[in-house]
Amino acid sequence: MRRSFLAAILLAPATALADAPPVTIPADRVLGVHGKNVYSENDWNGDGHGDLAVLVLSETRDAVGLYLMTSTPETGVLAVTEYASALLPYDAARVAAGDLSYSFTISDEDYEPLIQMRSAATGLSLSLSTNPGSEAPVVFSIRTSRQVPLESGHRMDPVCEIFFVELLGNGPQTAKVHLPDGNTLDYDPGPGPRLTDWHYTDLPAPCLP
Amino acid sequence: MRAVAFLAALACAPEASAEDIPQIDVTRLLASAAEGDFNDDGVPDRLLMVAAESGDAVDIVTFLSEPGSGTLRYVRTDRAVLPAQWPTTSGLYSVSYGYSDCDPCTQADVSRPILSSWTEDFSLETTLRWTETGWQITGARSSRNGFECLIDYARNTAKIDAFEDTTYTIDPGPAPALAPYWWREGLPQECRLTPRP
Repeated sequence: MRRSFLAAILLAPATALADAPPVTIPADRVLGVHGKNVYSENDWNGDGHGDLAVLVLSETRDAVGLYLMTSTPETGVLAVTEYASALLPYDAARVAAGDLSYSFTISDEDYEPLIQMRSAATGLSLSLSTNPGSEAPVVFSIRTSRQVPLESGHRMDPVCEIFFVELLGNGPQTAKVHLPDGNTLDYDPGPGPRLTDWHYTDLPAPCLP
Repeated sequence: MRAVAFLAALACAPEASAEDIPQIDVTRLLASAAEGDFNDDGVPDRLLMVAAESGDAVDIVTFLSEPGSGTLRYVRTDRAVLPAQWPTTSGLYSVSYGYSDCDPCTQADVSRPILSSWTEDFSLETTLRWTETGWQITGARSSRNGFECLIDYARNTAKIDAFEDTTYTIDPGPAPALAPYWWREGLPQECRLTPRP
């Protein structure tokens, strides 16, 4: 039902977006908001007006999803343009126990939304980036690292480095997973999956905190 | 007797239940804070800033961790706690953290949310602290037309930076309650926000 509703929104002409029925969710499903800020870092579609990203719990509350919205320059009114329902898993028990935590920041490199998931128990930390300015946003990259304590401080060891899109400093699409047995799995991850199609189960298990 | 039992049940009722959790239009979300430990129990709590139905104010929705379980529980919605000009494209809204007058500082002391609202006409920052009875205003900074007012209710001080580097102090008065549109009458006269005509 929701999927068809969103599909209708996505297929609607831009002028009709402002008239679309509101997308409402219970407030306790909101995990984080990346709204307009003083640096205009979230004008992803480059029209001079801030856009909005909201990190949410899925309807089934077992996954983390993302709403992307863009504003109509004339009025500032926002409309939902994308909804990805299962970007990362969500485990309420591990969250309540203080193991899992999620945060929503912006990338230092391109100011785009960066979704982070950390496990205190495993020391694993995952970052998922996307490109909300695109007409068809994809999962850009997923990087997982493990925090290893040292006598003084700690170091971060890479666990998964998956680049669906060629990024500056990286080759074309590459995926490298450091398996628990010490071996490394290299493969071609293929083109960036549409944000709306991505499901966290597409990710190799060692990559998940 | 039945009426007494009913009233007793009401008095013992929790402040909010799952059924009370408000439905939010996602396009009206302005900002969030998810790292602060407002109630000083070692577990992060959550606060959402949402554009009020009227568009001229910001509501805040508060979730606090349950003692023991760490699960977040919806506590309350405070209406119209900051001015807004929504949905104009010029408005900026954010939550950061701050503290004052604490040594040693508890988690709640350093997790005081600073709610900010900047528009073309004015800006207001309000520092809050969670107490057993709800949010308490501990500080405010208002500015309009190059005229800035800084109030610290914890220290009972208020300072005005006016034009040409003129600074003077005023009486902050009692800390206002976080009532709807409190800033219209709750700030000292010199610090009130008067939008341009």
